[in-house]
Amino acid sequence: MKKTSSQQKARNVRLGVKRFAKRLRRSGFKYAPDERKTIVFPETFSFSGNYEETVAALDELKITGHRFSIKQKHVRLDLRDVKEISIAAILVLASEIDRILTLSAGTDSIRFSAFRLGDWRAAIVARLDDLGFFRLLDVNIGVKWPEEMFGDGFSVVQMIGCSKFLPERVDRLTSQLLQVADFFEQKPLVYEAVVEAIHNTGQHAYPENGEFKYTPLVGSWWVTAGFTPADHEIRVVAFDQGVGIPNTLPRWGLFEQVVTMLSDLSSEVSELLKEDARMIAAALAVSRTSKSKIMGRGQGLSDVVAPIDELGVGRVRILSGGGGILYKNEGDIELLSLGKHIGGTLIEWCIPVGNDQVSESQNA
Amino acid sequence: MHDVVKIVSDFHPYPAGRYPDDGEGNGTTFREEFLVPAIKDGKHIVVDLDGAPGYPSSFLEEAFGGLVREDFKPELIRKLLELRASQPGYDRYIRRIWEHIDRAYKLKLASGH
Repeated sequence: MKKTSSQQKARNVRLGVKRFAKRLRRSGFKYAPDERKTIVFPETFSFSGNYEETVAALDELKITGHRFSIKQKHVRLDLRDVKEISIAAILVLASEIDRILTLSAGTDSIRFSAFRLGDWRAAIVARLDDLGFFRLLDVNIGVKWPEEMFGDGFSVVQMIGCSKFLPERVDRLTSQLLQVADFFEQKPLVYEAVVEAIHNTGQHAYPENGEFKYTPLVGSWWVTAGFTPADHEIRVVAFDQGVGIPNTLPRWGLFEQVVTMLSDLSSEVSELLKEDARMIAAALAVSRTSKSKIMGRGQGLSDVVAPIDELGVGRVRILSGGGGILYKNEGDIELLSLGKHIGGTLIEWCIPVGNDQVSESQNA
Repeated sequence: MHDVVKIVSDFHPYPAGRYPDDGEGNGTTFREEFLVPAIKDGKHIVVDLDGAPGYPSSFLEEAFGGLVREDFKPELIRKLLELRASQPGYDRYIRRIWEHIDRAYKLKLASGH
């Protein structure tokens, strides 16, 4: 018997699919080669600028990506309307695509594409490309973006994702950031805060009996960073897809102190006790004051905000579960009540770097 | 005669984490491999902190505060342990280490052990 060549085999497969589609049509079914879903992203894709719509777009992605389907799913990301985009939102979007692709690895059950990429704003494409977003979609833009593409001179460092506690990855990120932003003095503080944040992720974010809406990649975290010369500010963002700080607190050794702190509030306020933002703020307050009460543990959150305390400037935004806080300096905490669950914990450090140092580095 | 331990070259380039589960650069392993044997033998030990990208406090607390939990008195630790850091800003790690040791001792006294 003659051996079938690879071209012949491929032809046979194509003919088989064609016959199958024809049979389906005869039986009254409309054949579709894959299940297409287009997710349209809002004009402002940013947690601080447009939280509700940003989370809604991410939720749509999660629902589509995690839903079971016998057909191959084709998710088309439509960012044609996007005019503003934040690195925090990009990081969370990338982490979700990363998770879906990792969970479906080897099954070929889903693919993502950039829908009408040519119509996306060049500055948005450049920002996504700089962060390494298109690698997830197997798209090679292959363009060296001119610096004037970004009016504010914003520079970013490629995202890092990992499922283990690897401080060397954080060092690589902060060292890359050092190439664009002169924050030599602040670098160890930033490094330590991010390392403590991902250490907390490994310890608490993915508990064994935790209730997850979508299958988690246990232990995973994602980090990226950027620098805005106009604001003389570096921005480092870390994200995990865990159960969220408010949900991890009952397992924490200092939870009773959090409850006591919350119950000291007035009865009117007690109505809001379950608000995630208050839980995070109380946990941070306990963490910052508990150092002499427990054997060195329970300091995770206070270590996360330590750069702000040590430098006396900057801010840390923590969005977790359905709430968030903005930490400015010792005791100055703004509560952020969020309508929708962010699907994990996002920590963003914004730290000013010296004006003189920045101008010197720009002139060099 | 004293031992000099440079953390980044003799132990791990990225010291971080508290327990062995946290990776090779954890505080427990550093304490058990370098600090405890020297102090047990009554040897003077110099720990050089330069070269690391930073020292997360979970590492410092476990490595040095943990000495107190291993029943070494702060006076003995101060007598035998010398900390060195010449990099700009790294003297804060020396301060933090002594704070961790003192805090661990206060806790030990408070817990009555």
